[in-house]
Amino acid sequence: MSIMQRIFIILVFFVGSIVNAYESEEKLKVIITGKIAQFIFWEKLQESDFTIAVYKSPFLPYFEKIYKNSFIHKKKVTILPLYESKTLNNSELLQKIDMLYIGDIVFNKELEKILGFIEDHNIVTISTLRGFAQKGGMIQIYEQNQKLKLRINLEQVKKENINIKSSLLRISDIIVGEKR
Amino acid sequence: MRVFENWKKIAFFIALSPSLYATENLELKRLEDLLEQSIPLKSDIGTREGEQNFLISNNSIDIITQKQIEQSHQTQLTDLLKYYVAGFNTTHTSLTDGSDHIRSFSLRGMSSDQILVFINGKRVHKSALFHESTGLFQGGSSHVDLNTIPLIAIEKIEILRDGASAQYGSDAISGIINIVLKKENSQNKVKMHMGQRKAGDGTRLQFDSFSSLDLPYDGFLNIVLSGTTQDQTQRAGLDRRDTNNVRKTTQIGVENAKNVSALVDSEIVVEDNIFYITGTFTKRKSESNAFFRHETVLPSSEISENFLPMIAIDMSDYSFTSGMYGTLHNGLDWDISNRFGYNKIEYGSFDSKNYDLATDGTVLRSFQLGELIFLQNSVTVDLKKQFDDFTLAGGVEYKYENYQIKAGEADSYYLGGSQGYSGYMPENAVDNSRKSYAFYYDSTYNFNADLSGQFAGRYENYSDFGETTNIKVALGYQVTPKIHLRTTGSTGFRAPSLAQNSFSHSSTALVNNTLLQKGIFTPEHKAAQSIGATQLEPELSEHISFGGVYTLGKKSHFMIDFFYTKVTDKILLTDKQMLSEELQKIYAVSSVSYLINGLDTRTRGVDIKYTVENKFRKQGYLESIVWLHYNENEVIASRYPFLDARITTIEKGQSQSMIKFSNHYTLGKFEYSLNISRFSKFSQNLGGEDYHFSPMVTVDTAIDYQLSKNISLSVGGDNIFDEMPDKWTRSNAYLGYDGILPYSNNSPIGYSGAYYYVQMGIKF
Repeated sequence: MSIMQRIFIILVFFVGSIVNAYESEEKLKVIITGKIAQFIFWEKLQESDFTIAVYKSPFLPYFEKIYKNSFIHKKKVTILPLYESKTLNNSELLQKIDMLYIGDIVFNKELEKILGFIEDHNIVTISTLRGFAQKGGMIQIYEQNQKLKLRINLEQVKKENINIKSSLLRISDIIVGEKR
Repeated sequence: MRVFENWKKIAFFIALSPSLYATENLELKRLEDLLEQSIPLKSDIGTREGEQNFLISNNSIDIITQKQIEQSHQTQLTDLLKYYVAGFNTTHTSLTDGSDHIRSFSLRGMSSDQILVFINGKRVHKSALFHESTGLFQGGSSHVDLNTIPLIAIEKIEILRDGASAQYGSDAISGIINIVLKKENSQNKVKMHMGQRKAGDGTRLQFDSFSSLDLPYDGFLNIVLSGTTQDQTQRAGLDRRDTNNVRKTTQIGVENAKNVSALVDSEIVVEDNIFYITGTFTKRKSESNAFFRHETVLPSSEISENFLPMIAIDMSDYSFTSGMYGTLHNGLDWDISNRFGYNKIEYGSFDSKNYDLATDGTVLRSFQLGELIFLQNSVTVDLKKQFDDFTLAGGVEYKYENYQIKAGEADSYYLGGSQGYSGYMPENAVDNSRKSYAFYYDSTYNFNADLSGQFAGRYENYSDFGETTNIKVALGYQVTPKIHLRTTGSTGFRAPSLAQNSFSHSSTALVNNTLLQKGIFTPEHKAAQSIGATQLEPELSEHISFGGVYTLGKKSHFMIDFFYTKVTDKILLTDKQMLSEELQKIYAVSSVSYLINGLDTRTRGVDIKYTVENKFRKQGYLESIVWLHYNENEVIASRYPFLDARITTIEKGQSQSMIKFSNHYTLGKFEYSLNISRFSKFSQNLGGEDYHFSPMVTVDTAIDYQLSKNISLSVGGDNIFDEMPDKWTRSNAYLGYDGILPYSNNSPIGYSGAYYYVQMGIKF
């Protein structure tokens, strides 16, 4: 058997089966954001569109592509790009928003301002920002051993009258206030 | 078989079959499944753009993950890298003085000091040890002691297989090893390892612990403790010098050693910024020996007692890094840090004699032989700004280095000095410092979604040899979603290390009633300059690489990278050169070795790597890697009449090709590892004649069983079939098949044979 024939056998052996794919991290985070929504019940959930506001995130093109013609809680998904925190100082706008995805490069004061604006508006906040759940955010997506994990600030969730299914809590790392 | 008649067609269709690339629709998956989905491995070297998928890097990069580190069951970093990386070589030497204690390594056939080592992207200081033996591939160099870093602290290891000193400065000629430490959310763990060689010796006991404390806002404090005791192995041949008493007299193999390491790593979130510190500490005590001193070869008939002179090393190594990083409101990323590294080697000997001591020359005793100290402090400022299609990065670095040799006690160097290893003389004592500063620039431009280009430049100014400017250009092209092609071209340099500029080790002999010194002298020593030594200049290098990655759609990829590196003015130790009688009288020196920019070398080669992970539905999960490395090292110009032995060591002293076939299979609570390595032949020249050592194949294997959720038990072995290198084919009392050291010190598998172990891991 020639060397090339041996290489061929090895090739066939290796490509023989299917496993989990390496996926684009950005895409995965965006899809996970939508999936999380399926485990959440909003007090205010309206009959109009399901609105995900995306604040200063480079993932915006993924949100727009993935949720084009998509439905969450049987409502058509609308992606709302936001670039300035002051935009959120608008009750009418906040009434429409169900989820707010906050980008990574947001400073503490800016985050405080955002969280202040949306307080009591029954909006779920999600971010990959470091320490997000402890800084007053609700759901933080973080990375551990090449996998994405969720961290939920339960106190913040309750404060905003958001209900989360226990099945989501079971697969998440829970913190209450600033304690894990 | 008919299938093979059409094998090319079949392979072609398999390779292009769209079914293999069918991506699962993630949007239809459950959240639980998405959270089990692996995200791409990311690397932070090769570019200053920030972390990126290593498969689409413009540079050739490999990553060893934390999981792979655990699966290997290796206990030292040098062994771990040899376990996974074809083209990484490490040896275990005997009878080579200090080199027995600090393990050398090479990447892609090039020298140990031509590899830049980082911890968390910060340059690691070198060991103070200077390898004096010219018979070793690392002879004349000083390099990082990789085994000061406990494996349990490591999150991943990134290996850049390309010249990169135009980006990161001196030493990055054959590549960079970046050790990334565990961060927040890491599992607390304790590991106990116990193993022994097949021959019943070489017992190794190791304890490692990792504990992590959460700090506010995803900050962390990680603490690592590690302790090892290593018993010696004995693979010596018979000592036939005394024909009336043929027996084993000298210890050959792994040395006795005790090692304690600690590591602290922390990130503290301060407002919008992160303050970080990393501290490492290692204390190692080890003992090896020189050749047995036999009465028939002693210089004086008055001394009748035979003895085995022992060399003891007491090594202290520590480092402390502190810094802060963050992002300004205009999007400018910044990182300011200071790293201090210190390595001290205290040489001692015991069970030795100095024959020339009038009072106790016949008494076995210990000697304090002197100290080698190296310290390095570097301050770095890195800046980066991301634009739409363009990343601009740059920074400055200021580095201070100091090298010291402290003389041993007077008895250790008096005349002939202590047997085995003579002490450092006051003439050898040195306290040399130098400073350097660098400015660098690194930009990446995405011409479009598929084509990106990188340009980097670095200006560096050293207080001892002056300035150097180097550049690097890289291009990456995503031909199809599955095929990524890349090419780089760069210039580089390696500053002569302070040890190479400052090291000397001489002894005194009485010749014709005149005391004359002999040994290794600095290039600045007048005796060395009288026969041609000049101040050392940096090694200069040119690099070209091209290759690509073929992603097979699922968790498998095929990587191929060709490389070419030309090194001009490679620094190495000259052979011993006798001075003329006239010069001997002037300088009171009889023979000299010194460091010289002696050779130009050319290294060409290829790395081919195939990685795949297979899930067999309910029959488990298999991860496999096949990796072939091939290199040709060639001396293309020489500025010194080196002996053939030296050229052979550089060109053929290491295996030119290495093949790794690593597998890890998981089924329920069981895990099984199988790692097969093949090292091609290597050669060594003694007395003008080349000796060739046959290719070697080693098989490492281990079985792990999860006793409970938090406790695992592993049983395994390295080189389980007890493969040994060929013995010398020549007959010689010292280095010969019938001699005291029957094996070559350059053997890539050592010569201590099979090693079996049990290991227990406890998570908490």
